[in-house]
Amino acid sequence: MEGALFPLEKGVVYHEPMDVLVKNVGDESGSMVELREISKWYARGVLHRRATHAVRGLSLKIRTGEVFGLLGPNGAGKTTTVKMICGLIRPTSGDVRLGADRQTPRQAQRRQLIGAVLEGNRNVYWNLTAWENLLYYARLRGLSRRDVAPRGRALLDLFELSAKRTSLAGTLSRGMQQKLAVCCALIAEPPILLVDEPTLGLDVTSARAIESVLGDLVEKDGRSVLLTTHNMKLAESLCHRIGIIRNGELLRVGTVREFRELFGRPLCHIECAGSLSPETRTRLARQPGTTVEAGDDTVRISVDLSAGHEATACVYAALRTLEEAGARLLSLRREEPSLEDVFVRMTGAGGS
Amino acid sequence: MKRIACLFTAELSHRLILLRRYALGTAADVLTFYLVFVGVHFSIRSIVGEVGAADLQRLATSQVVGFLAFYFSSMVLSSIGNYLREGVEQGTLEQLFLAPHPFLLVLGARLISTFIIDVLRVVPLFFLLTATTGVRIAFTPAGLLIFFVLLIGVYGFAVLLGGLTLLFKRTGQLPFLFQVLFLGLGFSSLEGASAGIRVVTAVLPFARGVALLKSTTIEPMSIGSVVASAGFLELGLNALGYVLIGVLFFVWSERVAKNRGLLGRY
Repeated sequence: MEGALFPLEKGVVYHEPMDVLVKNVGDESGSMVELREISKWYARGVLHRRATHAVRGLSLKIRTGEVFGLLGPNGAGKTTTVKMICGLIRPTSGDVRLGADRQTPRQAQRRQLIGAVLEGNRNVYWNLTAWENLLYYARLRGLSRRDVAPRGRALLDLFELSAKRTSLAGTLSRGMQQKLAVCCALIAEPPILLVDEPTLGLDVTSARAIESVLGDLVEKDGRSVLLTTHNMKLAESLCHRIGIIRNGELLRVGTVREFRELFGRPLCHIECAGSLSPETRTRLARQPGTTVEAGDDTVRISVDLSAGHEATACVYAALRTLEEAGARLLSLRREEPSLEDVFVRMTGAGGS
Repeated sequence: MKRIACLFTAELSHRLILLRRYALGTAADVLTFYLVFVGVHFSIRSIVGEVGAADLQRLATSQVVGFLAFYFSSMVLSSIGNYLREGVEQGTLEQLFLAPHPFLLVLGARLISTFIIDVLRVVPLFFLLTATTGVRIAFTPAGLLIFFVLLIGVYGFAVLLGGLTLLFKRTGQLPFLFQVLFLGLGFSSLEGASAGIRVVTAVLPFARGVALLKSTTIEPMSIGSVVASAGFLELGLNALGYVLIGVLFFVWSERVAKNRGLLGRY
């Protein structure tokens, strides 16, 4: 049930009492985070006559138990959005609503709802051990050692950091520091977790470990997670829904499947051995939506299947042309569009 | 209440861990301060020349008291700037702003913890200073009261500098500038100073307090007569002014930093 709002801080509306923080289940529509038309612009120049728009009128809802991925090229406004949700950057306009059914006029209570890992591994004290970092952040959030010791041990186990419990954070690898930062964000069991670029600069193994743990957190604990990343594979495997942001504007929100269906181009790849004569290549390339790429000892013909019925005819036409040319067929397969393809198409930027 | 207790435990245990972990660095710090004192003390003695034993005793007492006040003030001045700067460098500052407390409370917990650690650090320094100079210093209630009021003013001033650090980040030279100034004031007397210098130093957070502290230590006074004195009233107003200005400026700086997105930038 949504009640009257208390906009104590410009652009931020407080909602949730902390006595129910962990078991909070969101509002009746199931959203734990709601952004309403938030914008952020920075005045520039001596007389503040110019403005840089970091985020423009962004609205979205993150549901309880959902991983929401915010994807966008560098400078798109992802981190600014995350920091506005945290209250670390004040929105120029719009509302950030956290939690659910009752109003909380206390900023402190709003902060208790959030655990955040910002800028990867830069969230822990390098001169404290992994365990000391956990205890420090737990106490900072009002929990005693007795309250958090079992949870802290379980988190270190979960992230495979138990063996590094007494190692200084500064001596850990970047991946371990990143995992420790996630542990610290989770030590007070916040119902909302904001993770900014969790796999940035990590090797494949560490990135997979983070991915697996984040997935478990949502599945087992029902947390709401907002993830910003350039790693399309991570977003594809973890996120229930994604939003693509460019130049501070949220272009679209949907599931990965919806994005693929709307913006992706399924392709049919035909691979042949050897080379093709210039005439054959020209005939193939004349077909609509067909491209020909010559490799060292193979030729790949790709047909865009998004044109539906006509595309099927193009595939048959290509096969006939190849048969007439006496080409030896190696493989024929359909390739679904990846999120990266969709991302590049929508933003005109490299995804990773 | 439990949350605030946990916050203080977090900060104090953090400081104690670092004190223990970097004991050698702490010892080197104390030794450095001691050597600075020895250098200045004996230089002044050589300049003053032959004086009577009583005058020498007064001079040394004044210097030890002034130096201890400088030591604490110096620690306070550098602590807030270092805390904020390290926080931005390591990325921990934003995490502190995510704590369920007003940031000034988090900062207050850190300052009180740092003060406790500084008291632990000053014990060996105190014994070294008294052993070197041969003076005996009595801690009277009046002296302690003046010392605390003096420190409150310095804390207010340091919070003001902290606000500047939030906005401009690279402000390391500012505390250093005032540390040098406080060192000079800790050793010198303003008795022969011009009216202009007296006015300037009266406005500073340290000068009035340290002068009062020295005179009270050399010629002990009752707490009642100290509280009733005009000098203490001026010191109290000075400290109160710095605390108010410091806190208000810091809150404003925090607001500006959040508006401009400066908390995570160095």
